[in-house]
Amino acid sequence: MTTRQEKTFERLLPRFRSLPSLPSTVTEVLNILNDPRSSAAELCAVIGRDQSLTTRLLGVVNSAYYGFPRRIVSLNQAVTILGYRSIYNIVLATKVLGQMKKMKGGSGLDWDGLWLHALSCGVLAQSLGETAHLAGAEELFLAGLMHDIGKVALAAFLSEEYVLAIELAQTQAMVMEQAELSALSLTHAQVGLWLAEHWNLPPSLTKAIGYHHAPQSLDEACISATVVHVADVLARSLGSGNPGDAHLPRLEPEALNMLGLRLELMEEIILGFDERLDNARIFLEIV
Amino acid sequence: MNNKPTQIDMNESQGLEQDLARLEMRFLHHAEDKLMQELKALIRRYLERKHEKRV
Repeated sequence: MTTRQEKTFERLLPRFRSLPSLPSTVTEVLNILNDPRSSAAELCAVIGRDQSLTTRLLGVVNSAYYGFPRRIVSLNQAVTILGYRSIYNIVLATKVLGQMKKMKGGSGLDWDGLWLHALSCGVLAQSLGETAHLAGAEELFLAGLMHDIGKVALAAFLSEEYVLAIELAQTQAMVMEQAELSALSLTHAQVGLWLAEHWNLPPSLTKAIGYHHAPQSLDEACISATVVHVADVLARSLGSGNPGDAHLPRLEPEALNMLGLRLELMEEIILGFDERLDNARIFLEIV
Repeated sequence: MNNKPTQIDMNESQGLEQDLARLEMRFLHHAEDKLMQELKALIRRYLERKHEKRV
C-alpha cells in the first residue's frame, strides 16, 4: 500500500468502524443452512423474531418475481417452497441493501443510475450462471447486485474526492477505476472488499466485490468474480444504468474461456435481458 | 460546446441513432480489440432489434 493509499484508508477506517455489523439474523440463518441437522422450524423461529424481515420475505415470495400461483401466507410454507438457500439469499439481500440505503445520499453519485447498473449486473450474472450451468445462479444475482458497494461507501464517506473522481471519469474519458486512483488513490473494488469483510459476507460475494475488475489476479480462480466481471462489462455495453463513467473496461478473454462461454451464447442472454430486468425490479422494490 | 451526455441521457434510451452514438462512445478505447469489437456488434444488433420492435 502506498503512503497516499494509507492516508486515504486512515480517513475511511473510523467511518467503516462506525458502520453497524450485519444483524445477527444473517449469521444465524447461515449457521442453520450449514448445519445438516437443522430443521425448517429452527429457520422459521430465527427469521420470525424479526418482524420487518418476515414481512419483506413474504412480500418477495408473493411477488411477481417468483410468480407462484397461490398466496404463501407463512414462513414455513415459504421455506418449504423456496428452500434454505433461497431464503438465506433473500435475508442477505434485505440486510445488505438495507445497510447500503443507510449510506445513500453521497454527493456526486447518480444513485438511481448506479442502482439500475447494479441490478442489471445482477440479472446478467444470474443469466450467465444459468447459461454456463453453474451452481448457485441466485447467489450470482446477489454478487452482481452488490459488486459496486465500494462506490456507495466512497461517495458517502469521501464525497468531495468522489465528486472529483466522477468528474475526471466524465471529462477525461477514464474508466471509474482509473479516475478513483487519480482522485483518491483507492478504488471502489478495494473499498468494497474491506466493507464485505467487515460485514462477514460469504467468500464468493466478497471476492466478486473485490475482484470484479481483475478476476485473473486472484491466486485461485473464482467463479463469482469471473461471472460478475463479464456481467459488469455486458451491463455497461448495454448502457443499462450509470456506473459513473461512460467508457468500458476491457472484457478479459480468459474470463469467457473459464466459464466455457462464447460471445454467440451471450446473444440469448441479451435478448432475454429486458424482461428479466423488469422482474428483478420487483424484487428490489420489496427488499 | 459541451457534448458530454447528462446522466439522464446516459440512462434513457431515445432514438436508435443516439443509442448507437452512445455505443460508439462506450467502446471508444477498444477499437483495436477483436473481442470487444465482436461484443459491440452483438449489442448493436440488440439495439437495432429493440428499435425495430418499437416501430
